[in-house]
Amino acid sequence: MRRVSSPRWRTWVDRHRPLAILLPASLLVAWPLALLHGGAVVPPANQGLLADPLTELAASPAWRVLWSLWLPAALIIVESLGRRFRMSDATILAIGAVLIAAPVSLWAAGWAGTDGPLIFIGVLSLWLACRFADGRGSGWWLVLCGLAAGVLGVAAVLAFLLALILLAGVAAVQRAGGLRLIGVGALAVIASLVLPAIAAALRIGPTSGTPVALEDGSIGALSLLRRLLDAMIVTGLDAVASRGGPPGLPDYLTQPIGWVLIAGVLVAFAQARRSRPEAPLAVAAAVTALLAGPVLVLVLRLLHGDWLLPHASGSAVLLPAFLLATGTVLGNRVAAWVVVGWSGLVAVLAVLVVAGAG
Amino acid sequence: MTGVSVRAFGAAHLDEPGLRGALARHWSLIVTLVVAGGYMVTVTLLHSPALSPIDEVVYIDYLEKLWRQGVIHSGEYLGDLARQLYACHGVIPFGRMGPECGTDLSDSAAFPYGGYSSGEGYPPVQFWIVRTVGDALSLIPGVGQVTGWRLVGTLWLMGGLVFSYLIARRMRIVGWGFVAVSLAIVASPLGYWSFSFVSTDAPIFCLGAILLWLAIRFARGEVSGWWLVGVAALGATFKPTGIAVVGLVLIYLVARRIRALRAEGRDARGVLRGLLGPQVGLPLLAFIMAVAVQFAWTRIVPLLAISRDSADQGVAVPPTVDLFGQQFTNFLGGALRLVVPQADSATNIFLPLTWLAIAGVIGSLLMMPRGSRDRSLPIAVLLAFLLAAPFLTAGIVVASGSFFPMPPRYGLALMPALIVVTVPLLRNRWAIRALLAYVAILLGYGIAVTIAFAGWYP
Repeated sequence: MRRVSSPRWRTWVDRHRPLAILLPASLLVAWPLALLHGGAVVPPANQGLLADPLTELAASPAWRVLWSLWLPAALIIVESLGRRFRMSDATILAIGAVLIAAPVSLWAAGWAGTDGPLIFIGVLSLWLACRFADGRGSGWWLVLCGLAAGVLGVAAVLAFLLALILLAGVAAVQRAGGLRLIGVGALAVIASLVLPAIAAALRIGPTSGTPVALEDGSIGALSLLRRLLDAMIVTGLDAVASRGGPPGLPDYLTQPIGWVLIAGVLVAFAQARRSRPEAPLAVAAAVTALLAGPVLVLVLRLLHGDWLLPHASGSAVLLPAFLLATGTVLGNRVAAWVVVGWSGLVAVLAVLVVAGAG
Repeated sequence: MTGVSVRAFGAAHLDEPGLRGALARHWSLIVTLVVAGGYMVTVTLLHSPALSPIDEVVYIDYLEKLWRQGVIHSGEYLGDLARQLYACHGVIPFGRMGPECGTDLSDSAAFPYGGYSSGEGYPPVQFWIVRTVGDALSLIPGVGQVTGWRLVGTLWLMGGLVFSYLIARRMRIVGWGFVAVSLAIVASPLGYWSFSFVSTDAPIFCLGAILLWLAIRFARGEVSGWWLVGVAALGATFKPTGIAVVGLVLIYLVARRIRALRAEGRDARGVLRGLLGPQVGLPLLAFIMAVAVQFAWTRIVPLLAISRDSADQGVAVPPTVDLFGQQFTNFLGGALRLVVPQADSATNIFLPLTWLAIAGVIGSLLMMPRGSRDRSLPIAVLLAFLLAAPFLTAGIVVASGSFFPMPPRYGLALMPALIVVTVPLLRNRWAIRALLAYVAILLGYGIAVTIAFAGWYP
């Protein structure tokens, strides 16, 4: 009997069912946003060496359509990582839907700033770190990625800090080859700071922080501690989960998307077990969520010599890791579909609101 | 057992009768009560007579007049004690109000809201308890009358924690996780303002725990559903916000019944028919009773009025779709963190408390943890957190015709449920330790702030 082979596209769809929905959905959301907002709303501050040219290019609708492709690119890697962490199709679909509809992504996809590539770097660094930890890829790719990511500003360091903590977690579980894993992770962190350091030394591009208002021109130890604690709370998880959407989109609609991220990151950490393969990711996401603020404050101090409060938008780089941590605990199928449905509703409303305003 | 093993607390004595066995079995409750009670009593005793901004002046005025006149009448002015507290000690964090302390305080119009009390909205039941117990506590040397009344808040807290523990014990989720989550609520701004001052929110926490405990026992056939009806009706004489937890109980029991009927293989019509029995009927009656008691009080208030004028606190706003929509995220997003915005938003230190609430309520649904035997509970808790504020807002619109966005603190009624769904999620001892460390910082912060308040508002 002759075997009838199914078309290649059919085979691809069978193997990547979540992507078959997420990729067109991401374009259906990103392109109308990119085309319809008409530049009416000022996007959050761009960061890094590319900030100024990107701000100029963002005026072009064609460029915005092209730039929004970071989102589907990120989704492809999210799916791959979802498989690596043995997530079901429904779970991958849910975290992918959140990646499309989260306010951070809506800004990234529609306004052609540095947030789009930062999200992509967030997921690419995680993928490279996981492949290196699994012994399926060279660690030098991660270092190279860190070096290139520095063009997007100091916020990129968060992705590699997360990768370092993940690799350290894997090292702690494996008890062999730990030094190599941690060494490569640390090198990637350092590499991600090379370009921001050069930019700071040559005073090229905007600073990724706002000067701290000082009462008497100096900052005491107690005040510094308070600022670090404040940054610890509001920069990482809160900055990603509480970001508002485009004007006109009510916060009470976007808040539940942030709630899924908060619940995902915290519960993944609260459930982490040394014996589970997702434990290093859960711990890395939770620890980076807390360390993001203080690390950025200290890095900005080192690079610029001033105490600066980091721009919240840079935390977009952590969105993919937070989502993947969420995916590790999103085991309930009905809950996954509720997340998909709510994200879809928010995405549709965002397009309608932006189209109406534009 | 969640978190650190019970061995450290004497597993060898678990089966022993008497005090040693009880200590080994209930150590997590004892630790919780000792820390929570110690903190709340300390904070209460450190308070100056300055008032909490959450209408404490109204409640103190009610308590002071209680035995003389029974209830507060609509259109009634605040009495001498309330005026003196306003003028001589003030309200945290706004300072003194009304005429200069030591001068003539008889001009009612010189006080906030024209000097009117807004206590007529409350039936006197809870004030009977607070006055009786508070007066007894004020006999302790060094404890004045107002402090005695304030200390009753600690007892409401203890009651709520004990019943929350009884629920947790039934679900086998006691341990350090229970200690950490319970103390997080105690250390929150919600705990601070509700339990260390005279507050009508405090008994609702205890009521919420009792009702949930009764509901779980009723669902397992261990107690009559009429208890639910009675306690719900009694609770409704305290404050309308108690309806939130009666609603939670109703959703929980309906969801549980539907699950049981579907497990029996019944079709949609069979499920509907199965809902007609007392397992749903009695909680529904409890809900109706709670609403009816509150509605009845709103009809009694005008009959007791002594004047057409009354306190206008300026909280009513023109209704909009956005304001109503915000109510859906009100309790889950703000209850633990933001009670007195002028004081609580001075720092971001309380923000992770909101994360804890979100992680507990949403996380329990994302996972449907095996640690929790009752899958209907996470669904009911989420729906209650989302729907309670819009429901109460709509109820007020129907009863009074004015739109009044709910303060997030009204979510206190749901906090025992939050404990029950959050504790099973804490399986990693580092997470529990991190939460305990955070709670310790908050408790220290609470004491430091109290000392500062007492200095700023003597």
